[in-house]
Amino acid sequence: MASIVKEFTKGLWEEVPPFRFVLGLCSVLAVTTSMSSAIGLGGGVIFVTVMSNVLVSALRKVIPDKVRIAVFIVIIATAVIIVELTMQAYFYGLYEVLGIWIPLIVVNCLVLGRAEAFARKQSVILSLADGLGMGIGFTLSLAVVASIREIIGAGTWFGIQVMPAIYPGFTYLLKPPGAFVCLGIMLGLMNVVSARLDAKKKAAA
Amino acid sequence: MKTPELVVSTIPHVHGGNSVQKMMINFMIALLPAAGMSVYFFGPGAIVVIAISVVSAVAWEFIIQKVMGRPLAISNLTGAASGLVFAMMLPPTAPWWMICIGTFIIILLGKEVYGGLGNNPFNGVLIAWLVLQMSFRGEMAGWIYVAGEFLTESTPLEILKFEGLESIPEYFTIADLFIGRTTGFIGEVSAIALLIGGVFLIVRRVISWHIPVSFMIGVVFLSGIFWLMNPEECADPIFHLLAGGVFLAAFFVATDMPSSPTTPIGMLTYGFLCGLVTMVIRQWGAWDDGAFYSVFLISMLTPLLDKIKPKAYGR
Amino acid sequence: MTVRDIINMIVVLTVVSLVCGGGLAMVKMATAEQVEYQKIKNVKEPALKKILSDYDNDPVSDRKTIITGKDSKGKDIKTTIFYAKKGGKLIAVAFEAYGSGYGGPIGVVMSINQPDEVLGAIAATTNSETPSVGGIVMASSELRDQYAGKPVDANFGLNSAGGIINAISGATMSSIGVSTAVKNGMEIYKKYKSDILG
Repeated sequence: MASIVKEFTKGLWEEVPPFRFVLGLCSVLAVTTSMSSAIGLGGGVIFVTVMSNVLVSALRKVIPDKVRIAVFIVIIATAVIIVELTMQAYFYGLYEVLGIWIPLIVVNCLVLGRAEAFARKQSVILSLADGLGMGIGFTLSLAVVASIREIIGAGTWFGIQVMPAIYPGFTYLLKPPGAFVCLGIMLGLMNVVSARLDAKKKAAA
Repeated sequence: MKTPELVVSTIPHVHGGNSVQKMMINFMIALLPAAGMSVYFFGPGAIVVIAISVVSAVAWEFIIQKVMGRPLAISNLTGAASGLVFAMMLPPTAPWWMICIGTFIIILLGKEVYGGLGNNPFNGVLIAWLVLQMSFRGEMAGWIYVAGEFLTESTPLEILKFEGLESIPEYFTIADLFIGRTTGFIGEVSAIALLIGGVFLIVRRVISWHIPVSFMIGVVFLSGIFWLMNPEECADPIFHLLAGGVFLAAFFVATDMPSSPTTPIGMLTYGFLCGLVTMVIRQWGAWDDGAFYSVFLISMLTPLLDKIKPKAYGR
Repeated sequence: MTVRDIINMIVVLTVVSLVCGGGLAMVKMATAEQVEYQKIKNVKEPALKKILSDYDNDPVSDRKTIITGKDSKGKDIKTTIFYAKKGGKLIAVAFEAYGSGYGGPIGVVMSINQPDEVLGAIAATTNSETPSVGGIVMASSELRDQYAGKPVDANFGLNSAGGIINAISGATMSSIGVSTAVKNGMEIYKKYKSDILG
C-alpha cells in the first residue's frame, strides 16, 4: 500500500513531468494560454497515461521486446482517439479550441516515457498509481502555468474577469516567447524551492 | 574546489569594478547631448521618463540582487546606464508603470537570470523593449510633436511606410531630421547629438569604431540599391540613415559588450548584417523601423561570429 | 532469433492492433450520432437561429435526412431537414441548398413556414474556416428582405431573368448564387414535399 501511495505522489512533486523531466513541453507551451484549454488537455492526458500504463503493464509478459515500441504506440494511439472522439461528442467547443493538440498527445513523450520506463516493469496496480500521479502532476503544472499566463496576460481566469477592468493586460505572456519565459521561471523557482527543502532535510538529519 | 592559479579565457574580460564604472560613466555622458535635445524638443515629459527609467532600473537591481542573495553591484552603474539607454528607446509619453515593467525585465530577464553582468547572451535593454512592443503597442507609439511646428503625429518612417515618399517633405526636411526636430523615441530623434556622443565614446575607447561604421555602411548599401532601382518610391540613403533609430542603435545599442562580437572582422560583419536587416525590415517588413529588431536578431549570431578568429602570428 | 520469436512478434502485434481497432470502431459507433449532433449544433445552429423564430423544441434534434437526387458520380445527395415546432405543432421546416457563387458553392439555409407554405427567411451557413461568399451579400438585409414572405412557387430568379429578385449592385455574381440556391431549395421542397412533411 505504501508503495502505491509513493508511486502516486511522486508524480505530484518529486518527479512532476514538465518541470522535473522537462517532458511534454510542446503542449505545455501551446495550450496554456487559458485555464479551460489547459484543464481540457490535462484531462485528456490523465486518461491516456492511465489507460496506456494499465494496458502496457497488463500485457508486459506477452509483448516481445523487439516490437514493444510499436505495441505501445498502438495502445497510446487508441487511447488518444477515444479521447478525441469523446471530446468531439461532448465538449465540442473545447475540441475546436484544442484542435491539433489532442491528436498530438500520441507523441507526448510523457506517455511513451512512462510506458517504457515504468509500466513495462511494474505491476498493474503500481502502474495505475504511477499513470494517475503523472497525469495529475502534468495537469497541475499546466494549470499553474496557465493561471499565471491567463491572469497576468489577459486579466481573466477560466474566462472570468479577475483583474480590475482598467488592467491593460500584459499580452506578451500570451504569446509564444511569453510561454518560454514563464516556463523557464517556473523551472528555476522549482529548483530553488526544492534546494531549500533538501537543505532543511539535511539540517534535520 | 581548487582554484586554478591562472585563468585563461577569451575576451570580453569582466573588468574590475572601477573600470566598468568608468566606462559606464563615459557611456552616460555620451548620451547626455541626446537626452538634452529631447528635453528641449519634447519638454519636461522627457525628463520624467528618463528619471523614472534610471531610478527604477537601479531600484530593481538592488531589490533583485538582495532577493537572489548576490553581492550588490549597483555601484558599477551598469543598471543606471541600462536605464538611461532604455529611456532613449521610449516614446516621450510612456506611462510610469510601463517603464517600471521594462526596467524590471532588463534587470531580471536581461541580466540576473543568466548569472549577472557579462553572462547575458542578449542585450537586456532590447529584450525589455521587444516585450513592451509586443504587449503595449499603443503606449509605445505615444509620440509628441512640437506644438505649432508639425502637422503630424507620425514618425518620418511611419509616413514613408503608410503615406509614401512624396508626403515626407510636407512635414520634415533632412535638416530637421539631423537636428532632431521630429517625432520618435526620446533618444533617437537627434542625429547630431547622437553623433557627438558616439564620437566621444570612440575617442574615450569605450567602444571601437567597427560596429557603428559597418552598421551605417550596411544601411547605406542596401537603401542605396533600393533607391537606385526605384527613386520614386524608395527614400534616399541619407534619409534612412537619419530617420528612426539607426544612430542610436549603431552607437549605443549594438555595441553592448556581452552580446556583440569581439574580433574586428566579427564586429564588421555584425554591424554590416545589422544594417542590412534594418533595411530589409524597413523595406518589406510589417514594422516601420527595424533598427532595434535587427540588432536583437543579429546578436544571436554573436557566438558564431566570435569563431572567426585572426590567424595566429607566425603560422 | 528463432522462427518462434518471429511468429510470436507478428501474432502479438496483430492481436493488439486488432483489439485496439475493434475497440475504436465501437467507440466511433457509440459517439457517431452525438458527434454529428454537435457538429450541426455548432456549425448550422447559428444560421438556424437566425431564420427560425418562435419555436419551443430543439430543431437540431428534430431533424431528418432525406435523399434528394443523385450527383454526377451516382452518389446520393442528402439533405438534412430541420423541424421547428411550437406546442408539438409544426410551424416551419428549414434546410440548406446550394447555388454556385463566385468562388465555389454558396450554402443558404431557408425556412418555409407551415402550413401556409411561404418562405420565412434565408441566411448563409457559417463556416468556421472561410467566410462563405454568400455571407457577404447576406450580411446586408437588402437581399434577405426580398425573400421573406414570398410563396414557395414564386419565380425566385433575378429580375433580369424575369424573376422577382433585384440583384445587389456590385455583387451580381453572389446575388445570382444566392438566388439559385433558393430556387434549388424550392425545387427540392416541391419535389420531395411528401418525404419532408411525412
